[in-house]
Amino acid sequence: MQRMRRRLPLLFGLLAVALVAMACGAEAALPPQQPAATPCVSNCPPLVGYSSPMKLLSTDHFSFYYSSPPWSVDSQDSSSATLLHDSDYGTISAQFFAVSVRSGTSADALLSSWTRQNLDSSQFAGLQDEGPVNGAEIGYVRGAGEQYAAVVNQPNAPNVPIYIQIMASTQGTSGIVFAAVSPLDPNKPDPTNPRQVRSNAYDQLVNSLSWL
Amino acid sequence: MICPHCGNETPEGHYCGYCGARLTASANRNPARRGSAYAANPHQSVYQPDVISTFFPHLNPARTRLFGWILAGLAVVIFALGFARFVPISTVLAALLVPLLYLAYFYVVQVYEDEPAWVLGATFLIGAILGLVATLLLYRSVISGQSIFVRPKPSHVLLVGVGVPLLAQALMLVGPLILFFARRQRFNDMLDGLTFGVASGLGYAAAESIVYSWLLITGLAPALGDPSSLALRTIPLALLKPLLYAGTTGLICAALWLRFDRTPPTREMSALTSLPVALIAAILGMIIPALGVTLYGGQWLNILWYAIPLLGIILLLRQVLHVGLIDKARSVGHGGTITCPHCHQTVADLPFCSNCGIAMRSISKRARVPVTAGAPAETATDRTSADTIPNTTQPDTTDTTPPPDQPTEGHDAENA
Repeated sequence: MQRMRRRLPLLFGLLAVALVAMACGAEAALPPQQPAATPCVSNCPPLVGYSSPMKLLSTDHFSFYYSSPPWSVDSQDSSSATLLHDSDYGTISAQFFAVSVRSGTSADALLSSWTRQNLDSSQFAGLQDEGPVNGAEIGYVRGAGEQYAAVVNQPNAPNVPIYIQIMASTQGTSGIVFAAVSPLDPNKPDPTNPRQVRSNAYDQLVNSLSWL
Repeated sequence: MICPHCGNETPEGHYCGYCGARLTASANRNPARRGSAYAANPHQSVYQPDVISTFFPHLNPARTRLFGWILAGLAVVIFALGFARFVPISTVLAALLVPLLYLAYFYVVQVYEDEPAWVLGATFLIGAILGLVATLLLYRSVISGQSIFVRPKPSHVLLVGVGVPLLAQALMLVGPLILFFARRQRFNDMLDGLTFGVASGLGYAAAESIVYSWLLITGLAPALGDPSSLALRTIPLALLKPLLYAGTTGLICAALWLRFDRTPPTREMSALTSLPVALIAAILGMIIPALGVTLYGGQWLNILWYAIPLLGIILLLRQVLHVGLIDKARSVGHGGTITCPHCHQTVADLPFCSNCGIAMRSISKRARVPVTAGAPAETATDRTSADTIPNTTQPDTTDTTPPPDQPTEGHDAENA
C-alpha cells in the first residue's frame, strides 16, 4: 500500500505531462484541412437555394424573403428582424436593423459606429478582425462589411469558434445593418453536410431585401 | 483547571482541551463557539474565506502559506501563458491546477497514513470519468442551443442553467456516496467526507473543462485577438470552477458525514450545518453561476458569477467544519503528550490543543506523534525547516501565567 501511495502522484504526474504535451503538439499533429470537393473552382454559379417555400417578412423600413425551414423568425418589430437557423454546432442568427442616419453618411461610417456599439468584445475570447466582406451590399445597395472570428467563452459550455459578419448600407437618411453569427467557419464550407448553412444563404436574404 | 463550558478538568492554557472553548480573553462574543479561531487553523477567523485552510484543512500554518503561494503563483503563470496566447497549454494547466495541488496535499500530509491511497484516487477517477461521460453525452445538446446577439431559448436556459448543473452535482456525489455506504465504518469522520467530496468535485471539474475546451486545446478554434480575453478565461477555469465544484460536493459530504456522526454533540448544533441547508446551498451554488453566464455572460461577469457563490460556499463550508470539529469533539490520540504541529508546544493529547486551540482531528495522523520521555519537543514530530514558525505570541502551556493583556477571568470578560 505504501508503494501504491507513492506511485499515485507519479501516475497523475505522467498523465498531466501527457496532456500538456498533447496540448503543445496537437496543432502540429492535426492533418491538414482538405478543401471541400466541388466540381467548380472559379466563376461558379450560385448554389441552388433551399427548396422550402419562401416567406415574406415586412417591417416599417424594409421587407425580405426567407426560406422556412431552415430559417425561422425569432423576433421582429418595426425596425428589426431576427432569423434563426439551428445547426449541430450552435444556433445561427441573421439580423436586420433599420437605423436613421444623417444624409450623406457613408456605409463605412455606419458599419463602424454600429460595430463599436453592439459588438461587445467582453462576450468573447480572442475576438479577431478577419477583414472586410468583399462586395458587400444590402438589397443591391452597395455597402461595407467586416467579418470577425472569436471563441464563445462560457465556463459551463463548449468553447466553440464563432464567425460574425456585419454589413451596412445607407440610402439617404436610412441605413440598414445586417449581422450574421455562425459557429460554422465560412472559409471551410462542407457542402456534404446538409445541416450547414449554404454559402449563398445570407445572399438570399440580403439580395431579396427591399428598402421601404 | 475546570472548564466553565464543559465542566471537564483541562490543562492550563488558552483553550479547553476537551471542548475547545476559549478560556482566556479574546474578541469572541461566544467563547465556546470561538468564531475568531477557526478550529482547523486557529490563526484564522471562521469568517475568513481562505481557500487553503478550507479545502486543505490538514495543513499546518507554514504549509498553508506555502500552498497558498503555490496556488497563486501557478495561477499567475497560467494567466501569463494565456496572455502570451499559449492557449492550449494554459487551458490544460488551468484544468489540472487545483486537482494536482490537491494530490500534492494528499501526498504531503498523508491524510490516511497507512490506509489505502486508492480510495481517494478512485473517488477522483469516478468523478473524472462520470464528468467525462456526462459532458461528452451532453456536448451536442448544450452546443446546439448556444446563441449570440439573441436571447437563448428557454429550453436551452433550462438545460444549461438548471439541468446540467443538477446532473453534475448528482454525479459528483456518486463516488463519495459509494464510500459512505460501503466504508463508513472506516471513514467515519466529517473530514473524510470533505476529502472525498472535494476529490470527486475536482475530478469532475477537470474532465468537464477539458472536454469543453477541446477545440481550443487541439487548436481547432482560433485563438487570436485580444490577449487579455484569452488570459481572463483561465481564471474561472483554473480557480473558480474547480473550487466551486469541490466546495459544493465537499459541503454536502461534510454535512452528510456530520449528520451520521455518532458522537453526541456537546451543544445544540447550528442549523447552518444541517444536511438540507448544505444541499440547498450546493444546488444554488451550482445553478446561479450557470444561469448567470448563460443569461448575462461576459468575461468579467463570468468571473463574478462564479466568485460570489464560491465565496458563500467557502464560508458555509468553514462553518460546517468548524462546528463539526468543535461540537462533535472527540479524542483521536493516545492520551499522552504531543507536540502540537500547529503551535509546536508540548500539550496533552486531547481533542484540542490547550495552547492554540486547534482541533486535533484536523491534524493528520502522521503528525500526531507522541512525545517520548526525555526527548526534546522540537524533535518529536517530523517537523521540517519549512514548518518552523516563530511562536512569539503563544506562551508555553507550562507557563500558566496569562499574557499581560489577557485577564485571568477572560471568558467572563468576553461574556460581558
